[in-house]
Amino acid sequence: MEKYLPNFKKCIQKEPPFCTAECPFHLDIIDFIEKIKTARFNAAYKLYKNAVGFPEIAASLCHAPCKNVCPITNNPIELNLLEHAVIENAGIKEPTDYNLPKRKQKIAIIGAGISGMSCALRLSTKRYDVSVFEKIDRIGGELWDIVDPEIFRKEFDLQFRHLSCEINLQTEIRSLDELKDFDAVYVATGKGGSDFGLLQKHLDKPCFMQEDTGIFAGGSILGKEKIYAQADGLKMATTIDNFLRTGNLIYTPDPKGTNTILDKERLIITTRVTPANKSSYTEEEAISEADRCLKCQCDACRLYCDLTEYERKWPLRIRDEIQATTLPGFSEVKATPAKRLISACTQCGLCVETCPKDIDIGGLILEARKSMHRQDKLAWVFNEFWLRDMDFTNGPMAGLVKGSPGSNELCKFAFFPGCQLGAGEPDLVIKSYQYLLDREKSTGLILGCCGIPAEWAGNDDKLNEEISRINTAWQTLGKPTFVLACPTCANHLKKYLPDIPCVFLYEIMDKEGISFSGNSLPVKEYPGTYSVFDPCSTRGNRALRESVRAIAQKAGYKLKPLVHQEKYSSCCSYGGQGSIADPGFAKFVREKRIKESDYPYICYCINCRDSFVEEGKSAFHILDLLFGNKPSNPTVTKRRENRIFLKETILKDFWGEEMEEKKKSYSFRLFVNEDLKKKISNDRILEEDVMEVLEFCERTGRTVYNKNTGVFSGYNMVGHMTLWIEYLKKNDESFELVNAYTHRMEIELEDVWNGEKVKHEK
Amino acid sequence: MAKKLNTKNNKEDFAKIDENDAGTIVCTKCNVSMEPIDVTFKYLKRSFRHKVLRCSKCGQVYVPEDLAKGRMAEVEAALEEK
Repeated sequence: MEKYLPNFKKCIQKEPPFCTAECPFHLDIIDFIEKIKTARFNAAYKLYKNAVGFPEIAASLCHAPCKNVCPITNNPIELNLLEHAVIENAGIKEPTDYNLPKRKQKIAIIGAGISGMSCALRLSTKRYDVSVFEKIDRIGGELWDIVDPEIFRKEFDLQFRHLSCEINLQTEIRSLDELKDFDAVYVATGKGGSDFGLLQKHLDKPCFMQEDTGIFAGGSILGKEKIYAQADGLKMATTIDNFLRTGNLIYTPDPKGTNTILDKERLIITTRVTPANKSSYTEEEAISEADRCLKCQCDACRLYCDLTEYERKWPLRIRDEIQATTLPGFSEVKATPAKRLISACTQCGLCVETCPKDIDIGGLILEARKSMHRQDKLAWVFNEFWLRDMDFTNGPMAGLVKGSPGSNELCKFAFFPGCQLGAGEPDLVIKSYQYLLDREKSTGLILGCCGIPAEWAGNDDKLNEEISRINTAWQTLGKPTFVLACPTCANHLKKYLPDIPCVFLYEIMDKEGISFSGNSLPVKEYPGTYSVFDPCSTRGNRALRESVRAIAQKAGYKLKPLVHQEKYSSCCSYGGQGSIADPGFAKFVREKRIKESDYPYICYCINCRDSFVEEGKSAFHILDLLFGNKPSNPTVTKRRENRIFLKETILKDFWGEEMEEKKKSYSFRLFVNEDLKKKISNDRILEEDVMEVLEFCERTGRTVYNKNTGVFSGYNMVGHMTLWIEYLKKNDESFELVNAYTHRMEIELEDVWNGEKVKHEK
Repeated sequence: MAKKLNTKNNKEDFAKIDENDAGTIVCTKCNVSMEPIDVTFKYLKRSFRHKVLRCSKCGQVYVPEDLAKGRMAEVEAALEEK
């Protein structure tokens, strides 16, 4: 996991947007805009007031430096107009009268200009004993020249309404020695005002100690004018407050700039809303202007990664949750917030490809799965179904490794269709193999799984077993080039068996044409316009993506591209096999993909096709279209039967051999109606497992009987799962299944029952 | 969540299901009516006991579908996050 952690530290999601970084007050503009957008003008006003102290004055003084950095360059967001709109439309402007205890410390502020008054406001709000000293007979200083006095005098009255602050007019301070009784002094004497010799003595620092008094300087006297003087007064108030609380004189200069990045996809150029009355926005105008804001903070992950979007979490939080979850120890002593998240990820890899800082959430998640597996803390149920499926595919009933038919010689090519194509559409595998043999006689066949379910389950030992099984098959066949039909197999083999040369069936079809055993393909059963859906595993393989489009077009199908799919092809939901861990997330992903186009999809990964068909979307495998095959949606049981059928048929048709392995036979028959077959398939219950449980129940008599309905119920374990069946007994050889269901908890039977030792039958 | 299973309310939930079926469900082997008796459930290294219908003679258990897909599934989901 260590490999993935350093990049997380580079995450820039929390960096301020360009405008906030430039704002003299560092106003949280994203929040401000959000409040305006939702017409919460009171809340927006409060936020603004907390940032600037005197809203009316700030709005009048501000020259909107934010507009210079807004990425909508010719039409920057009119923040200044928005500020005025907020002030005009806020119903409640009365400051809150907080009931806070008085503080003993005394603070002197020299100069009643905007900087001094801002500092006085903030410190009196905190209930310090504040005295302002102004040498002339009015407050406001420089404001008199730049803002309508009506505005700032009213604003001072309003904001100081509940505060006590002593203002000493016509009181000139000639030396700081006069203020020895004060704990802190803020020198804000303004442009050309007295600096009491401080500027020469303490050139670099705006604050220092003089005997027991903390001396602070700010505003125009330091060259910070107008709006910056106002901001400086507030900042110094915070510095003084910190000093008086802690005794430490710490001045932190404002952070400069921002490292935020705006994704190009997010830059939507819009035109500013012009106020109808030429000078100020109405409520509606303000809302539509706020609506233009792009909220420039890096959110590449949320934009592209389905998991961060679904979970509404940022990478740093995901990292923290994963680290907590994978720590040794059990949940009684620590939190395990990411257990489901770890198993839900589709492993599509889009996170690292779209993150400007190369943060690889998927990589971290895969390592977390491995860590959880090693600690035996991964819920078995998340992966057991897939691992059993893989074992079956590679097992004697479905797995096959054969050299080219009619020859014992080693072969140049070997067709490796992957585990799911034959499960869904055995006919497509048979026809594709025929197509390949038509072109190259020296083509062998490997029926089996590439082993990726073991990787997705975080099980390294199992993964190594699978990899060495494929490697052995490859060596046995004379190191042929693999002809692949599944892009996920391709990526997996490239990662773990890079020596195996691979080519895609579709690339061959593009080059060699699509005629087939004398017939000219395609069988045009489904004319129309389609969108090619690129699987997530093809992102790095442009040649493949183009070859599929080329054969679809050669076959006469019209194509309409999906907006993002080619460059940022995303997962159909099958990847990572997280649909048991988080069915809600899998559905979210499928629905999102389906919405990308109304046209039927052409897929070239059978898992994409199956995921979409399952969700009710019209989708075809490219081979469906070429060979005129109607996409089916087989039950989990049928998928196994299809694999057996495939092995049986292909052995007979191409090698003239009978399959040695025979399906297990039972001494009874079980009738299951079609609706029930679908229902139990949705729960991933295999009919052969039902047969096993029935066989157990009948053999042992371990059932219960419902006197009203005549239904027997019994259970047995299938792997870790407890499978219950309910059935009617017609006679000793014939049964009808009424229902089947599972639970994940195990029933632990006692070794001693009623004082007698019990032998548990298996 | 395992603890929650033992609260009074949940016991009532389980018992309700039991009463509906009790009397009509008999153990095939022993031909006696099933009764609510404690059984130990185990999941992800945690175990807890709860009353479900059992044969008092041989200990055979009956878990109906609504219990498996209802309350038990909820507890399973909670344990998967622990």
